[in-house]
Amino acid sequence: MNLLKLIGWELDRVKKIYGLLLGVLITIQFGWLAVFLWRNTVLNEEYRREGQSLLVVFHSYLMSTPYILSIGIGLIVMLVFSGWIWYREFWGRGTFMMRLLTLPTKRIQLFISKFITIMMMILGLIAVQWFALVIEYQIFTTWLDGQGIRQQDTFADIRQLDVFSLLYPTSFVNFIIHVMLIAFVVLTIFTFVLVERSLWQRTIFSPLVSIALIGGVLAIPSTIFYVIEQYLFMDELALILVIGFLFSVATLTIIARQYLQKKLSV
Amino acid sequence: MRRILNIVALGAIIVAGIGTYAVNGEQNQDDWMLHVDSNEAVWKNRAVRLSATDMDQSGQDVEVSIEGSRFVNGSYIDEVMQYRSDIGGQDRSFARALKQLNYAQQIKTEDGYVAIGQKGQDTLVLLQSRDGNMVERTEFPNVQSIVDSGWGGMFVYDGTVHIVYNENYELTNQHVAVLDVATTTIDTKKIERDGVLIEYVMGETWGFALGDGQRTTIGKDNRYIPIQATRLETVEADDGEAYSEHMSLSGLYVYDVEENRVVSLDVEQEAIATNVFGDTYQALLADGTETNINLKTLTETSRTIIQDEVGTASYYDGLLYHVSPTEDGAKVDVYDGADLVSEATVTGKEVNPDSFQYYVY
Repeated sequence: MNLLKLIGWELDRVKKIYGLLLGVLITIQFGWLAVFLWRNTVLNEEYRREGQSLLVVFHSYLMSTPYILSIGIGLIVMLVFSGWIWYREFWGRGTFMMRLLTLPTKRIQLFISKFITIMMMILGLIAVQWFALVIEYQIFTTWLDGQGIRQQDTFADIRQLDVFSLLYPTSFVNFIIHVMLIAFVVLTIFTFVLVERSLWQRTIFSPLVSIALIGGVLAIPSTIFYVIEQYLFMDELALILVIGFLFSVATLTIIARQYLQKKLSV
Repeated sequence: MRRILNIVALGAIIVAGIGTYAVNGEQNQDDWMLHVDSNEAVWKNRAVRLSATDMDQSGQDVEVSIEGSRFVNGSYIDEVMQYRSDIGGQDRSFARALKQLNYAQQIKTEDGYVAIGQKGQDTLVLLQSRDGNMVERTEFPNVQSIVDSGWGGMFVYDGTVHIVYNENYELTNQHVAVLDVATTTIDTKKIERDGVLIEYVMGETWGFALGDGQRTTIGKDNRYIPIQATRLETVEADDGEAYSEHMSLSGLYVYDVEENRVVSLDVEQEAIATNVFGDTYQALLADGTETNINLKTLTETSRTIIQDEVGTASYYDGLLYHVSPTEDGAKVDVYDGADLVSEATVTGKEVNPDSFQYYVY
């Protein structure tokens, strides 16, 4: 119950800014869709007068700068937020963190609640983006049909864009694997912050120490993989990758837990 | 309570969004089916691959076999499992040894596997294995001129491995290298040139591994080696400058090892499918005739196999798989020589048959 309360509390604190982020992204995407469709309608009229016809593809809307930008904003905000969710507790001489650390719950629950909060926000973004894509495609086809403008591609084509093949792979198993990789990135950022915050009063090199520690952990499986790569086949390498992934997750979790429970003080 | 509501609200969005994606986002490979009407045995380890050819039918390639249908690029786990079953345990030692080499290529003969590859800048490595398990490795050091050349392929003749290569990557400077395992030396001779050059030797496999079912056994005493022929043409660019470009030639050609020259087989037509096994060079030509050439004597026999329009075709284990599109998919006829030994159909739901390409492998 404590964990649920903590997650609910974390979500309550980010509710407004998260809503704002979603609003900005949706405004950019739908605003740009309106501009895109309007431009093509005008262009089609010009073509029609010259006796030609225009062909529009959904892909060129997705591949445009404003659209890619909206995805990029979402990505960067979530990366920054994964660090900020911890850093903000240390503002005001760490009074907030002090209260959190003295809560009658285990410190690791703080970690878990923040982790789940971030993952929920990321999954929420992915879900909202899916709805947005479906609606955008509906508007796109309905408008072009209404205007009698030819179009060619299908909704399935969205996967030709790298970012969407990552977010919405054709196989759901791959989706789960991608989400696990995203969770790994969040875990890495969390570990960095906790190590850095535990050391910052003792050394000004705390960010460097933290990066070196995490880099060292990740370097072990990476080096092994690099060295034995040429001797193994794809299925054997996949097994090594899974072991390396599990090793990294376990080690980073142990480090983060250790620093949060034993070393962190304000 | 209000805080728990936050979790419920965001959770509902996630479940709804990811849920609709999971349900609608996946294409259904089960729309495709292979139905074998007769002689299922020739469909063991075989599959038909479907690829969409026009923009309206975009999506992934599907592979249908008697075991069912699957996406060629399924989940990562499916791919790993498929890889495991494709590249079997038996010839792994050989494939592993070959994986260490650059520009590796291999053939399978009656005596087992033979492969060549490069180690570093000046060493050529020959790998031989009877069973794919015990690998015999021979290094040929200090042969930079061969290693640093474009390789056109390999073959075995008179018990020794031969390599066709273009010295300094010049197509007009084509040589054959003969590997002497006992002395680890290499003899080379220039291939006599009569306008037609060797683009590549047929029947070999590039790279370290391939499913066993796709490799045919090639004779090691064939005097004539099937090749893809090419010719250098002088082309004039728009700016008036002339340059030479090589053009692949249709028709059938072989390299005569004893005479050291390329021989044209007097077949002008395009070959739809070719196959090399034992001492036979087999080709299905554009008019539906199959021609069989004996690679020891160069005697040729022909027979008409396909009366109607020729679709796509491929050879496996001496059988010809011929695919022709139908209204709701495709029809696959399997021929053993002139005899129709199996009939099968590939059907799909709501498909425009013209927008798919079918290929048996």
